[in-house]
Amino acid sequence: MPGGLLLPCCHRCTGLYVGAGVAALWHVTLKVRPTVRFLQIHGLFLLMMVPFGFHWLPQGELLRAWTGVLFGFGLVAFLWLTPSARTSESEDSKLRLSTARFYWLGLALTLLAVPALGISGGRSSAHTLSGLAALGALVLAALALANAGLAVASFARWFRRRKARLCA
Amino acid sequence: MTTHTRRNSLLAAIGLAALLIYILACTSFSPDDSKVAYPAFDAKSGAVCVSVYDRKNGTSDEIFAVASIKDAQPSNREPCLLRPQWLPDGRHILVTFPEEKSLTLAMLSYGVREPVRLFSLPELNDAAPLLMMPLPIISSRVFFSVEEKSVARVDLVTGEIQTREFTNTVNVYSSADGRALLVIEEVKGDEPGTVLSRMNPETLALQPVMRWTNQVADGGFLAFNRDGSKVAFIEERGEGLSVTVVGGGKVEVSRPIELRDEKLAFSPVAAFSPKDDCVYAAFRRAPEAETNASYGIVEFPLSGAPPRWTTLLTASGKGKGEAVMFFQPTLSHDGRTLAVASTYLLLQDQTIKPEDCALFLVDLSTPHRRVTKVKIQLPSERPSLTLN
Repeated sequence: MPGGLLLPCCHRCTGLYVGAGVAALWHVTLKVRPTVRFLQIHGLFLLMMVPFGFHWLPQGELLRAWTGVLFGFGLVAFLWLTPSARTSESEDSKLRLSTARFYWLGLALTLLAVPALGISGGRSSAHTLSGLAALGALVLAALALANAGLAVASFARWFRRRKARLCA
Repeated sequence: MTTHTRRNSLLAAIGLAALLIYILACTSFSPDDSKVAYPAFDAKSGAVCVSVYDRKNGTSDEIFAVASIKDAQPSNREPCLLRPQWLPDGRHILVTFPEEKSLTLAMLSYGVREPVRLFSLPELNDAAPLLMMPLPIISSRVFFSVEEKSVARVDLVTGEIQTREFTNTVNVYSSADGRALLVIEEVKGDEPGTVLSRMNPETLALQPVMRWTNQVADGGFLAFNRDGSKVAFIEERGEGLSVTVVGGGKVEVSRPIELRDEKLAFSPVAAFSPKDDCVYAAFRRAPEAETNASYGIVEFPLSGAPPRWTTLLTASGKGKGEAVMFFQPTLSHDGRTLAVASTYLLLQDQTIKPEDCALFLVDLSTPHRRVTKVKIQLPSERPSLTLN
């Protein structure tokens, strides 16, 4: 409740949406190449939500916000793969060491900033968090729609090819 | 075309599934209205206890009992005032009860194996009035007013206590969704009135929201809507009473209550419907011409439609007027069910029949307001609850 203003969602969801928004920004600007290690780490971010999301482990606001941020980064990493493969020649984009550092630094800063703004920020922090959360929610929605649309398009192509083979 | 197409597709599907599961499962992280915690009596000792009623399978489990023994004689056992409240995570129940000049907070786990945590807060001259209204619980911290002009915050995990003093008399509440902390200040002096403020749960600082000067009636109720932007109360209007709703600093609704030669009193706890179109309260009606009183639930539609009175039990006598204080309703989060237990009501009004000792669940979604009565077994010797 920064500045006495209620945020639009809980600690975890705020972390999720802000994390997703920031992660998407990094993917656009840094053109992150998804190495196996990169995907494994982000897969862990997704799995981590299971024990914390179902309250199998004790947690406070800080841990809820952090798990939300990491989950957001994990979601964007996975959902970015297919649209980015279609729209850019990512084979030429190398994950340079400096780019990797920027990405992980950005993740660390997000982990620090979200709870800090939520706990000790004023009204401007509340507006910032709300705005970033809204942006992150839009990003996730857009990614979900893009992936769903591409999946439908792929299925349609496969169906047409199969039909053509059967008719031939 | 990338050679990782299949991998990307699979990972994207996993990402979509994870997002979908998160969105769907998020609603199960908070209390899901499937269980009701209420005061009952321990079958073996006759002491007041907390039971949890499972609405899905229709069974009750006793989870906590407190026997306040004044001396060695069991007949001198005094019933304890217990207030059970679910924590927002839906896996813990906070039971609050007064003991002499202290307040005890018991954190019980439900459905998980965790130790019981007891916190005893001493040096409280009069702890019982603190339990007249539900205590606000934000995350794992509970808030309450102390000595009229202070607010205390207790961390239910660490036991850390923080207090803050104010100039005016303050009372702390929570919004209906349990996410906002609200404070009512009674301002005296040149510009007297009642000020509603939001309290920052971290710093305990106040941010005024609105003010009113309406005369709040004794024996009335106070209710906040879901986000704490509106407050409903019973107002004294000349010779009569009205249900008044204040929002945005002005009176939004004022509906007179028709009284027919009767004494009408309400439980201090009431509830807004989720759509802010109705206020639910518990009542006691004692017509002058009759020798008995009735208790039940009243719905005040804010649209102007007449109130709807649902009697749940009738006493054979008039008992004590203040007994209705203990007949406190709780509205489910989905707004479809009103729950009220008559446990303490029977201890206050000895003219109520033992078979009316029950947890009443009023289905607000049915036109005729179907009532489910979950029997509470009274001890063979009905104790009496006396207030100082």
